[in-house]
Amino acid sequence: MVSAGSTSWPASRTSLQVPAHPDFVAPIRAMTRAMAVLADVSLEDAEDLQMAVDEAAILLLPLVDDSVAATLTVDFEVEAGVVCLCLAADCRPGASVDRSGLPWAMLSALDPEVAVQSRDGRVAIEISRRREDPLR
Amino acid sequence: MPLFAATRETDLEGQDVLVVTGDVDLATAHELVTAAEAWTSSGLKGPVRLDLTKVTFLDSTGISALLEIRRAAVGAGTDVIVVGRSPIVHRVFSLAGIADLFAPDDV
Repeated sequence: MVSAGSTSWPASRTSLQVPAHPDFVAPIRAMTRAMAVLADVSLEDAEDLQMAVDEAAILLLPLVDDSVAATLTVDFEVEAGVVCLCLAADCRPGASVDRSGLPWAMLSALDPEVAVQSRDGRVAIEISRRREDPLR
Repeated sequence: MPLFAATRETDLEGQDVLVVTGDVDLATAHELVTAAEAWTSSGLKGPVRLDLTKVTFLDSTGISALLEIRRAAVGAGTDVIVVGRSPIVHRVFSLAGIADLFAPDDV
């Protein structure tokens, strides 16, 4: 049970789907911050999660398959002190996350356990933060 | 607060400064580059002075924009000075390993 507010509620899964466009990355950050607040992680952790999801979006957006109505999907799992999120998009065949540039360097510094999954043309970046994690 | 703004102002010492407000990210970083280009093309002498005190978010595209602005300034025989940084700017500069790249700020 999560008790960040006045009443408790069960661990929760929430999803957000937005157009795969830079203008919609700010709403993803806002949602991420809201989820972090619900999980009652520290403000520093919430800020790190915002930065991490932003860098994940920077990595995914160039890969999206724009022959379809491309979307970014964020799936959140929230429980007390823990936020896990997965940012995913349908990408062009053979597209892969660029791990050589600054976005990946920043993302992996923010979450050393960041994971990338690729399956059937869908690329997903998984990020998490636990309250007890020391500041990195 | 606007999502992003970059406005040329005059500071208390009478010096021109480009005050950046809001989020510098994938959607807005190009506007920062455009504002800085307008500064250098206006014939102002001396370094491009950036006040990042009111920046509420900065990501790797913002860092790339700042590096592009710096390259252009150096190419024009001048430099970029960051005269103020918000906490998020401090954090991201540190993450990106460029904390010492710009001239020391005065905050």
